[in-house]
Amino acid sequence: MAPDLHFDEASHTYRLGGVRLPSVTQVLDPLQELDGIPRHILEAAAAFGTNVHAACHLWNQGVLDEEQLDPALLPYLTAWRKFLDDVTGVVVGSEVRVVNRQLRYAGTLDSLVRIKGVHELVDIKATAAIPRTVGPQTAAYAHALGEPRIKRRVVQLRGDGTYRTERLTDSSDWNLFLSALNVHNWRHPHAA
Amino acid sequence: MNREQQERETSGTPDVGALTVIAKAELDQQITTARAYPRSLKRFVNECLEMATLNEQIAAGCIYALPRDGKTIEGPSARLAEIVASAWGNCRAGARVVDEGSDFITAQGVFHDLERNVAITYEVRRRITDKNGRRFKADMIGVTGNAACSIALRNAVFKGVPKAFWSDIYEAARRAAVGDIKTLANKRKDALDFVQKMGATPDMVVAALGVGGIQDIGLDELATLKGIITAIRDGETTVEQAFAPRGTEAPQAKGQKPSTSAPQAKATAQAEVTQVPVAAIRSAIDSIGIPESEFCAHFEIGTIEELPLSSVAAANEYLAGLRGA
Repeated sequence: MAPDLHFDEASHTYRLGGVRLPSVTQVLDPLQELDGIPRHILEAAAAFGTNVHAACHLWNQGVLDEEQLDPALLPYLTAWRKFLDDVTGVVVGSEVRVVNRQLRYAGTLDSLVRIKGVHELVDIKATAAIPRTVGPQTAAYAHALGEPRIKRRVVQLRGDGTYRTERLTDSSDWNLFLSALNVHNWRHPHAA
Repeated sequence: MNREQQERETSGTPDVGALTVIAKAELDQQITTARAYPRSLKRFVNECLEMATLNEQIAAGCIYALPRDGKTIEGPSARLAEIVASAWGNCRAGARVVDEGSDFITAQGVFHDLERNVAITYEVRRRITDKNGRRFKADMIGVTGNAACSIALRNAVFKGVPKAFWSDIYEAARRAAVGDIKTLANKRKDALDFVQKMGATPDMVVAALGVGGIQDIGLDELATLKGIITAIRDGETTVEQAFAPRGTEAPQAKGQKPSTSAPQAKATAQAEVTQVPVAAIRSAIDSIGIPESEFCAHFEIGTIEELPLSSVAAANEYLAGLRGA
């Protein structure tokens, strides 16, 4: 993690050396609409998804208070554990803040998992469907992490304790993110 | 053979090749038209929402609920599928009976999204024998076939139109059908009166919903009850099946996604660590002067890179202990 990268939870903003940077999710926000998922659906799912991510993150760190865990979150955590068991994965990074200094964007990747001796960038989704933006999103994290060729995948955690995982191999993902970043920078010329 | 005979014979023997070409041309034209006038997802959502929540009866018809294995399965009904297919546009949908065996009838639902050129088929089997193994009469087989077609079409439509687009519509219809706490008493009474006319007593309803009494039928249970009514009307279940005693089954799970409280971390003094500090650990091992293999053996890992994030605090403690020693 970059020591001079600061994240403000309340406003969800990243600052590098005091200068505000767009986040990966902000850059891809317009694509969410194009993807056809109505904004109010995304917002309703966001709060729930945040808690699922937090539960997985605390568990990854080994500090989750499972006795106090909201029962509704338990199946999602079970699904995450099941995924790690099935792929014999070891979480070596969780909620890792990354920044691309050259292109000036930042973000927080969900997890880095070592699977069969190789690190993979794993994005967690607790949504009913896997959004198509996950490809460009993880490509952006991979480049900001400094490992553009890292294997990427998404894991969709489900409320019944099961999961679905997909490898993200589309080579156009990075170009799509770059296009979105260009559009974002064009729309917000003073932000970057 | 005179000219008239020739013409009669020609018209009586269809040219399969020509029919194929015509059918293909029709389909190509439909796909071309669909792509020329693509759907607006925003308009789809608005139209769907408007139709599904037009009034309480229509909204209630968008939910179905079926008792299965001691639980009640609730979901979007064939009526909602009709609304979704209509608003989605640029698609063809239909259903037909494809097989009628001695015990089962099989219906096939088809949904073809012309714009994306995605076709979904979904088959549904329904038993056409009674509990004594006797085959239904012809009329009843027809009714069962229609019900199976309705279900097959519904399933095909909901497989063809991604759930992300209609799940919110379903929730809105559910809310519109059930109302709020102010209208609960009246709507509960209306629903109970309706099922009583079908032959279900209040005790049967209470048992089927898994609640203690009539007063315990809340908004979620009312939605389930309305869903059961829709399923009975659509021929997916019968009053006897829907309101059969269910013993001590747990109440139906809530339909809406629960609001959750944020998870808590255990009380810990360690700083927030998000990544295994491989370089720092390696450097500490070097400075302490122990072989890396000793550290790895302690944590039962092959290399430092395999150290789980959850073991970082323990690793720091272990290294601090060695430093102290």
